[in-house]
Amino acid sequence: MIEKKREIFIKLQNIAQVVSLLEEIKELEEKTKQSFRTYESLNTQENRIYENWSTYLEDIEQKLDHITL
Amino acid sequence: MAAKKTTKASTAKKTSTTKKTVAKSTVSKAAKSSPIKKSLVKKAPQVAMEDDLYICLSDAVSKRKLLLLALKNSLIVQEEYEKILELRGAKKEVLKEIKEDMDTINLKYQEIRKLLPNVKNVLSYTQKELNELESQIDSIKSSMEQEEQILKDEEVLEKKLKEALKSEPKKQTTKEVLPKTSIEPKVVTTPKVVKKPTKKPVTKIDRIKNNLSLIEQKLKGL
Repeated sequence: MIEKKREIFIKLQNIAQVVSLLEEIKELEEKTKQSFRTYESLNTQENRIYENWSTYLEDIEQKLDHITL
Repeated sequence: MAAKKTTKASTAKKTSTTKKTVAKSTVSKAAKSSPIKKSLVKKAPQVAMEDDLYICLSDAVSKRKLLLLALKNSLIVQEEYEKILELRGAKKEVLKEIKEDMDTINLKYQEIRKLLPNVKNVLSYTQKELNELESQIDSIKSSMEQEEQILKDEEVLEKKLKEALKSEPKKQTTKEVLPKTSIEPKVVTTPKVVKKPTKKPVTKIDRIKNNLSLIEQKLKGL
C-alpha cells in the first residue's frame, strides 16, 4: 500500500526577508484589529445618541401637547 | 371761507376727543368688571389694529416652563447631532486607516508569495498522480510476474537442455533425444533464448525495477 500522507519540504532562499515581512504583517493585523475596535466603539456611541434622540423627541412632543390654549 | 375751515377743524378735534373719552370710559368699565380684561388691555399695543384677537393664557408660567423644556431638549438634540457628525467623521477616518492597512497587508502577502516557492495544486496533483502511479505499479507488477514465470520456465528448459546435452555424448543418439524432449526446434532457439534471457529479461526486470524505484522516488518526493 502506498502512503497517501507525505511531507512537502520547501527550500527558502530569503528566510530573513520572509520573517521580517511576516512580522510587519502581524503588526499591521494588530493595528487593523485595534482600528476595528475603535470603529465599533464609535458605532455604539452613535447608536446610543440615536436612542437618546428618540427619547428627547418623545419628551418634546409630550411637552408641546401639554401646551394647549 | 377761512373762518368756516377753522370751525370744521375744531369740530373734528372735538369729535376725536369725545371718541377718546368714550374709549377710555369703556376701558375703565371693562377693567372694573374683570381683572383678565384689564391685563389684556394693558398688554395690547397702543397702535392696535381693529382685526387683532387676543386670548387669555391660563397657567402661563407652566406653559413657559414646558416651552423652555421643549426648547432645551431640542437644543440637546442639536448638540447630539453635532456629536454624530463628529463621530461620522471619526468613523470615516478609521475606515480609511483600515483600508490602507489592508492594502499594505495585501502587498506584503504578495511579496511573501513571490519569495515562497509555488506550491499551488500540489495536493490535487498528488492525488491524481497517486492514482496514476498506483495503476502503473499494478500493471508493472503483473508484467513482472508474467516475466518471472517465463524466466522460470526458461530456466527449467535450460536445465532440461543441459541434461539432454550431457546425456547426448554418452548415448550419441540424437534421434532418441529429439523425440524425448521434442524441443529440438526449441533447442535451436534456446541458445539464442539462453543468451537473450541472460541479457534482455534481466534488463526488463531491471527496467521494471528502475521504473518502480523511480515511481517510489517520485511518490516520496511528492
